[in-house]
Amino acid sequence: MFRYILKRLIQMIPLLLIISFLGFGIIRVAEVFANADPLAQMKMSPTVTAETIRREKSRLGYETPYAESIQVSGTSYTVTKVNASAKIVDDSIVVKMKDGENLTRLGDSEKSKPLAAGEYRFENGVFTFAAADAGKQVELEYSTPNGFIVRYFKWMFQFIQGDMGESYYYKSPVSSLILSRLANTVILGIGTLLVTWLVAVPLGIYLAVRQYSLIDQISSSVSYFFMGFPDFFLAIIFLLFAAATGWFPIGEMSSIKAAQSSLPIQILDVLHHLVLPTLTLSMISIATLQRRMRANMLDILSEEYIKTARAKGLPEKKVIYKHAVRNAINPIITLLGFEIAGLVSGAAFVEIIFSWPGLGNMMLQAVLGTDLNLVMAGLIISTVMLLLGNLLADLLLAFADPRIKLEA
Amino acid sequence: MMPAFRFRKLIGATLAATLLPLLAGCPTLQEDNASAAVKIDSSQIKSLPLPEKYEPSIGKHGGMRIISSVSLPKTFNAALAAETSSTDVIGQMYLGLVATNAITTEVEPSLAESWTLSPDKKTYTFTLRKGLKWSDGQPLTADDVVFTFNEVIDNKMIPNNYRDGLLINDQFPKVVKIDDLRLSITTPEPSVPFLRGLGDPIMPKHIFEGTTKPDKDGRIKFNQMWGLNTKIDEIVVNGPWKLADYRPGQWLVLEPNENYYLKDKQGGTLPYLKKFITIEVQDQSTEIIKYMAKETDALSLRAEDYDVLEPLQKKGKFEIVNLGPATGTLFVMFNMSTAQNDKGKPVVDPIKSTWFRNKYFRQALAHAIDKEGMIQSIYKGRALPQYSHISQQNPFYNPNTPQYDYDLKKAAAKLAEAGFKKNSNDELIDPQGHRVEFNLVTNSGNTMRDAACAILRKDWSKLGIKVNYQPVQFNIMVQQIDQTLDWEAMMIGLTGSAIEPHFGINSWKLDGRMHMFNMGHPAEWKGKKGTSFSPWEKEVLDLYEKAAVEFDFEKRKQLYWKSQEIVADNLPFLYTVNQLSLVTYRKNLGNIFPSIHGGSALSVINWNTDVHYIQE
Amino acid sequence: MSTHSLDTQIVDAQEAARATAGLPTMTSTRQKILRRFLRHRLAILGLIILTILYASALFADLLSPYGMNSSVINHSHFPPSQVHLSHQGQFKGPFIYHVRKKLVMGENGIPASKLLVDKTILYPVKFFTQGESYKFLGLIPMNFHLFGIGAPVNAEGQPATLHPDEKLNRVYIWGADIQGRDIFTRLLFGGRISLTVGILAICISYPIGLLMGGIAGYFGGMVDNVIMRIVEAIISFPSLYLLLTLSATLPKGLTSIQRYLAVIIILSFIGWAGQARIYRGQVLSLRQLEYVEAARAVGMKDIPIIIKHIIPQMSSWIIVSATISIPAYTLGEASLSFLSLGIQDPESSWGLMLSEAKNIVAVQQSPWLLIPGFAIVLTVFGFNFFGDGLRDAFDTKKQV
Repeated sequence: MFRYILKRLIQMIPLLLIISFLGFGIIRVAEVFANADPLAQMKMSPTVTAETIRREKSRLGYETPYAESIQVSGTSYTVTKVNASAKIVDDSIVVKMKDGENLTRLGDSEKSKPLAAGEYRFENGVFTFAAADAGKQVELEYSTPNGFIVRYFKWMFQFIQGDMGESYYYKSPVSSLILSRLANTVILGIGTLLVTWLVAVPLGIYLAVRQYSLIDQISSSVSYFFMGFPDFFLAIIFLLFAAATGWFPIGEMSSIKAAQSSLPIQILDVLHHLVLPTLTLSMISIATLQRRMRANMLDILSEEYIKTARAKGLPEKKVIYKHAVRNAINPIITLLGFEIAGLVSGAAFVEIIFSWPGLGNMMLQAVLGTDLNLVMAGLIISTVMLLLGNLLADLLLAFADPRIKLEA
Repeated sequence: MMPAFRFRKLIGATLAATLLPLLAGCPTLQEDNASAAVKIDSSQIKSLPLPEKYEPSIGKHGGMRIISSVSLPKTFNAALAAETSSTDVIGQMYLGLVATNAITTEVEPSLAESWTLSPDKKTYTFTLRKGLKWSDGQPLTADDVVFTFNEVIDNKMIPNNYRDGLLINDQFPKVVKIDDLRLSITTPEPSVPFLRGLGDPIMPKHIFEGTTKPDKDGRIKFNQMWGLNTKIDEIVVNGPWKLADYRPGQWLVLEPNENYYLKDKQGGTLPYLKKFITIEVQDQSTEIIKYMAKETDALSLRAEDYDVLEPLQKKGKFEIVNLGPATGTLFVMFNMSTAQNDKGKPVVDPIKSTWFRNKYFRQALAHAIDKEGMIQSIYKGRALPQYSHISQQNPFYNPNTPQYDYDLKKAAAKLAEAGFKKNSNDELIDPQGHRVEFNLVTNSGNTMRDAACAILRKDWSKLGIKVNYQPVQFNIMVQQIDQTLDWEAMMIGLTGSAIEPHFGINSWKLDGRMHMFNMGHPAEWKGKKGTSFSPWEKEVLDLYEKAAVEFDFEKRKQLYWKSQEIVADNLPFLYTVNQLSLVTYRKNLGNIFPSIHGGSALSVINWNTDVHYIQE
Repeated sequence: MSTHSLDTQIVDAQEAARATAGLPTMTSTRQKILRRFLRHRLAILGLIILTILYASALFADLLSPYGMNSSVINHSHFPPSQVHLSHQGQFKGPFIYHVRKKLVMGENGIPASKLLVDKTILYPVKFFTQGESYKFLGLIPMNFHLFGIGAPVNAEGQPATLHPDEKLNRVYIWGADIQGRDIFTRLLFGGRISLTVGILAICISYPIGLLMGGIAGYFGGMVDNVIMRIVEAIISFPSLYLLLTLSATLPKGLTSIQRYLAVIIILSFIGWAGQARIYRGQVLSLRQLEYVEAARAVGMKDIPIIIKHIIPQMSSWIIVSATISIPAYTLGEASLSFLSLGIQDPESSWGLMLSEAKNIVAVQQSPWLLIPGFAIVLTVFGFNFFGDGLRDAFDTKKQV
């Protein structure tokens, strides 16, 4: 058992590598094709200096910064920290005197102009200074652009060390952002899971036993009805319901008024907020799950051994609950894995519409704002949840059905 | 898997049930048989007049106010705050030397008790109030003020929005301490708008000293301080409110700062309220729902949402007031830049560029903007046509600014005058024989913009122009304006000030970041070739610069009037309409003095929260 | 459900595969299958729903009274027109009353808009009227529309005149959107996108999925390993997040047709992996079958074997599982457009139309904005019913 889990966990590592590489690649495509620039807003701000933007670029891993301190002797100086063929980002160059005074760069249009004191040129990795500045101590700063692979590995090593970087949009560490949001999403997910399974499984059993009864037909129609609903559509309808009746809060996770009072009231308040989002998510799942449970039960009930049990004269209750239910429930435990796996991302739309402060809501903002670190962390975390969910499902299945052996 | 059920009828019933709510939703309409006028003339619209004087009454202590916002602050660091979501909250927590009274529009003492101006009109000497204290009990002295101006604001390593506003001829004023209570500020040239600009929040020196210079790693610690994950009691303020609770994405709670200097007339402490809360909501429609559910007590209303709240006023015990045309603008502009990018490719197709730079082309299209249609159909009468770049509520507004009435014949005539003609397919052809076609960009997800653009497209297509509509995400649009310059036509909205036209000078500075219609100043542009400017652009800038040093109100007015005429003739911005600034608040709130000069959105009533109170 | 379906769809497809794999040949059972399908009442219902939906999208120009982007700006959020038959007890044939949007000065000097019905002006409803011209099926120029309204008349049938500031009413059987466009019309045109995205995406993702799955299963070893790791990676992504991230790669300034194709490609990119995994499993078992061995023995190349022998074996499974997975793609498109990341105005799609319902206040005032959502639901119903019917019909083990 333990060895099995360990093996599965180890198997996850290459998968996560491929996933993160794919995710990074997609974002890179976005940068090239869609001009998605995480620094766009910053660049638009009239007060942001070139230096700030450069620092941000190196922080986000776009560029590697270098600094050299030299004494001007002669008029030319070739940079030494990078080789001559390396491309230097043109607007990353800053040249300062020791006392902090900036030197002025002469551009291409002023090629013929002689250099005066405090001026310099830069071309192909070579700085040219004015003769008047000879002997002075000068600080050079420049950056080279990082290729995709370099950026990926840089990001990955930081990530492995637990440093998910800083969110551009929220201006705070990604890890704390994700954690606080993840908790809210998990609350919603667990609520949904509980409601779904507590309703769907008994309902499926009941309906199978009462096949073709009126209630069976009604619930089948209702299931069909909800199975066709996109979650965002159902969420809108529920939100309208809340707005029209005033029975439920309109979105959010807790209300400010309740937050001022005691803990039990705060918990009740969160539960009150939880009702509609949970209902939206479970309605659709219940419809699917209930149908599956019912179908499984019907299959089992027509099996020979059930007939035998009945023929033996076992009471009907015992036949159903002891024999049939146990066997019928096994196949749908695989589904539980999918549900657990989908806990994180499955609620995204409902979160967006109900303003639930969860991960999905944040991911949408992050994608729209090309918040690289946040998008990547969100992708990885939710994928890990998904993989763990699958593992859990397999374990549950083995637990429920002794015939299944886990191969280590 | 699917055994045959006999529930045909039930399926039919459920399908019918899906459509039932829709039938129930159809409203029954009142009858009307008189074929009277269906429009409202904009001259009939009345706005709430400002009171003569600002005299808050004595309030009652206790209670709380709750408002909503689509976005909570991005930082608590007053110097780094850039978006209104941050500055609105910081404005409640910090004071500057002076403040603008939203009722009288006069510059009033705030942290400074008084000031004098030297005879050469360059040096202001400020005297601070005695006994000022930070919320942590430390005294607030001239040192804090000097520190704020010299080390925080005039610091290129600290990205702040205040520095630009204080520059005169690109020079930062000299701020010098005289003694603990007095300091002087000297500008290189006399400047009229300068004093009004001195409302920038003063920051505590005892907290930030030493953090504003690069440390040994070259990092400025200041820029990392007081972010959203700072402990709330570490944030020290000098204004009426201090932070009491903050939950990201949910709410922000302010409580009174015991060391706030202002007391009411009977010597009672201010603010009266015990708590001032902002909750974050998803979007503007949720804000309305929350307001209707009495969860919040005030709301800045979009024109289109008025009809929803209007019938509820009595029952909901609230009032909707109209503060006149909002100070923001909504306009279309054409990219007149002739810059080339770093590969030497022109940012705008040179064929199109000649149209966009043609004054008659722009004038023709201005004649084809159905402002009245937009007002009646999109804004349901709750907007006014806009003609000038200076807000109609501004004392410098020129009522004689040329207006381009909606007249497609005039538009066609102007185009013909400029050499454009229609071909046999009814398509507009430029003098060189090219089909007139361009992309119109605006930010996606805004249905009002979509509708406004639809009106434009319809009318412009009648002129034979093919307009390709392209909604893009806001940050991409910003990038197009600022970085790539590769847009052709754009509809965009800006916020503005209703008091001081000079604060809009960034639109007219040739290298200004808001000179959006013709970006790529040769000295700043990184590409192969910079843009070129027309004489009128310099002329407008000239008038603005002259007006900034003109202390005589009438003469100053003449300068701004002239600038409005030139701008309206050359039309860098084709203005559309100005929504009414509508605000609603519960009637049990005391000391609400709504004023368009309070600021953007809800600031029109929240500019004096220190005296707000809850009435019985 | 949108995200959900892409995940659970895999389970669905697996079950379908289990049920239909290893059918001997299709021809011998074709009639039996048809008979079984026809006996499945819900499947017939699904087929009828789908036929109606696709036909209405195909003939959208003819069926709709107006053009897709024809708008009357003053008619934003106009309510559905109520068709009457008699005026003051007098039979007049179908007609609608004139609806007037009137601005009146409200309290505090703010204009308020009111919708009023004027029963002195009538518009007769007409069938096969002339209206905006279009090309029928993209070929034949026509200007006939199934229905529309005529010029306004008064109760006596004499031509009525409107106030000069007023515009003629139009018939909005399902109301108008914010730009004053007929929702019924846009729904029909939107169907052209919403109903085809799924099918086209399947046409891309299935061949890729089948080929990749086939190659992986047939060759095994290293090839299998590489392909399956990629497949697993794609499946492991939470599909909505992947969808969001991929949509961020769409460049600005795409034309509407390019955007439409881009959305299809994004959806197929996510979709192929699931097919590949299931198909690989099937091939693994088929590979051992005698006739495949025989084909190899007579020197047939590998890829022809996959295409000629293995894929045809799976045709029933392919048909069934493709039908079952279409709704997931339809919902994928709707989700993207709903978040303004997919199809964009002025093009029309159901998800895009529904995005107007994000404004809760607007929906409360104009509930007809929800109609596009029901169109999506109906489509999913249709495919679910139809797919279930197909599956049961192909399922030899099951006696219906």
